[in-house]
Amino acid sequence: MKITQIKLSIDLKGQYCNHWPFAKISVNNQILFDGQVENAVTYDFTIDAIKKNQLVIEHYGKRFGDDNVYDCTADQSQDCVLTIKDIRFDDITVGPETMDQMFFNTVWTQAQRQSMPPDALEHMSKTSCQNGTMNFNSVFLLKFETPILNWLTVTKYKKPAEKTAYFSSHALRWHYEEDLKLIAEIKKLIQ
Amino acid sequence: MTRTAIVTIPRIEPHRPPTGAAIVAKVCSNQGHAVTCYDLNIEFFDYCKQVNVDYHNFDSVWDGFSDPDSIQEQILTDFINYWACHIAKQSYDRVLFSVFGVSGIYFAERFLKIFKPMTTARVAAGGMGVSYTGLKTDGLGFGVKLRNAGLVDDYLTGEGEVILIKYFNGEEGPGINNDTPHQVEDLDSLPWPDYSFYELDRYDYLTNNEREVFITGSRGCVRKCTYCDIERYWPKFRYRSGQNIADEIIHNYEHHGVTRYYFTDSLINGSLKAFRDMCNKLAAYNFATPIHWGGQYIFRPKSVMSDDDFKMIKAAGGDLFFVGFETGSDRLRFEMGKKFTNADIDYQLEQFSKNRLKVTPLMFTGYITETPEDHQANLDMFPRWQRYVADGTINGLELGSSLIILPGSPVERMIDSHGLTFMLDSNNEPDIKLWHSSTNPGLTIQERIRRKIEIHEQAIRYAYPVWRQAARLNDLKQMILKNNFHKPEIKKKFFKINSI
Repeated sequence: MKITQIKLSIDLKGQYCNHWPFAKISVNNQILFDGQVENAVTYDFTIDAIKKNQLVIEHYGKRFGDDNVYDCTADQSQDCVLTIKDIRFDDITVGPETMDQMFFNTVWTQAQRQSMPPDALEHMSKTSCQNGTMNFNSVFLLKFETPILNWLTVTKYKKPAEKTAYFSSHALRWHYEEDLKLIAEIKKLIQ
Repeated sequence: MTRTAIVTIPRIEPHRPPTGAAIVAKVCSNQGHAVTCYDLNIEFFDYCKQVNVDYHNFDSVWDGFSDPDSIQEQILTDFINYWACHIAKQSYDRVLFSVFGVSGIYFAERFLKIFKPMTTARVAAGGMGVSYTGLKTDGLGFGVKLRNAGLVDDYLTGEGEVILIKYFNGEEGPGINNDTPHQVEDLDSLPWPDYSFYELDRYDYLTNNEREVFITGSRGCVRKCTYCDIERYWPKFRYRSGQNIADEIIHNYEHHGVTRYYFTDSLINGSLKAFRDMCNKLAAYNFATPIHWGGQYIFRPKSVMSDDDFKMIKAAGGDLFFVGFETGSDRLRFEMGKKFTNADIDYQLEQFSKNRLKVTPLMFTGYITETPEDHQANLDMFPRWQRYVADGTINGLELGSSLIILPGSPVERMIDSHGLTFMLDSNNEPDIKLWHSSTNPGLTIQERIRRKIEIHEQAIRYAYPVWRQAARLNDLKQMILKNNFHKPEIKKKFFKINSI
């Protein structure tokens, strides 16, 4: 199994209410960080990446009436919130192109399960990663591959082959199927 | 009142209205003509959509790599017949054809063969395409050929702004029915293109239907790159003042709602002074909707461009730049006449990345003196700059054809010194794409194809955003088939021996 060392940088921001938010960061089930996030902080790691990998960032420990404690005020003037500001591999951001397409999976507390109607639980079981804010206890799962620069490029910029400009090739970038077919034909012709 | 039609023909980019014809329209209008403009390029683009055929697949026809297939032939015939009849029926006094470049020659010839017998109008052709000559054709250009064949009454070379007025007045001289191009010294004195003659909402804008037009800041080039034929058309480099260019951009923004601009210049930053002045003026103007512009740009040594230059470009709306990297070999790039190194590219890419500017590198393989080591340097470019693909700085890559010995380019003057010999094309003329050099015998046609394919595979390996990839490869395949390079006896004859 080929292992590639990659620099992973994660910018997090914690917002205080009763306590700073708890976060756990792991790659391929190896925990890299577990603790409270105070204000804005950048965590840098060197990770051993294989072909297919999983980055998990978890926000946990926020209370929603558990033991009669709420880690947010009713008017939300104070709220214990974890925000993912940025994730970078080898100093290159995954960018809004990646984050905007993803969702946080909510992990309900027992108190929430008891107090919230089922349709609300269902409706909010996933929340958008667009602004990076984890209001609930939740899990962010990013599957990434090596070579990391190829993965970043294709994940961020490759669009479906529908043409934004009709018959223009602008939207066909990174759709190499036709190239590879023609390359094979040309090689066969001139061999 | 003189009734004048101005006809633009394929192929030009469908992404913006034609600028040359828009200038001609303005000149004619200023002369009191009643002007109608036909952009047959965008008509053809729309027609291709209508009949569900890929417009871009005609590139290999326009570029002479292949003949139209049966479907393309039918489409072309129908299209030409319809528009030739339609324009002829309007009984214009004058019809002016804009032949943008070599890529317009095929269509121009076919169209005029149908159109000219139908019309009583005085027909003229202009644009860079009329100045085109084949290699070793004793200086006879496409314009002469059209005129000798009776397909046009006149042809105009060089810059139309002044020539047209002389032509309408019945004068003779440089640029009128001869291949001595007329050059204008003071570009600031020329009229701006008038896009009100075009339906601006028809074009295939690349960015969310934002209107985009061409703009010309300079003509000619400060460099004399050996593979380029620009000096043939515009021997001297001339440029507009930064203020004048900024004024035109602001005019089009205020009057036509145009927020994107593409410079036709060989190099947008050919004159650094004018470029910096333009950027300063644009950065200072209060655009309610941000504008963006781009074009062909040259990377310069680090000592010439400061950090502040890049910040200023961004503040002025600079967005996407097409830069001729050409090769990964410093030695070869200098030999081509480019005066920057891979280390300069490192610096510029870093600055582009910092300032969120985008670049599409232009490159080609198979320069006359390219060695296996140079080819390896080409391959090495891809991992070296891949991080700029991943961060969005490099947002396109143009892998051009192998070196073409363009008439009028410095490499044409190296034919003897490099012992270049050519295959003959179907017209029994030297094929400028299929050459062989006795001073670099290892660089056979087959080797050039092999290197091009290897470069393309390398681009895919490192996830580069290759632009128009399939069309380019298809050109190559058609060239192989057209010349029967796949047949053993031809392969042996043209691929393996040193002299063609």
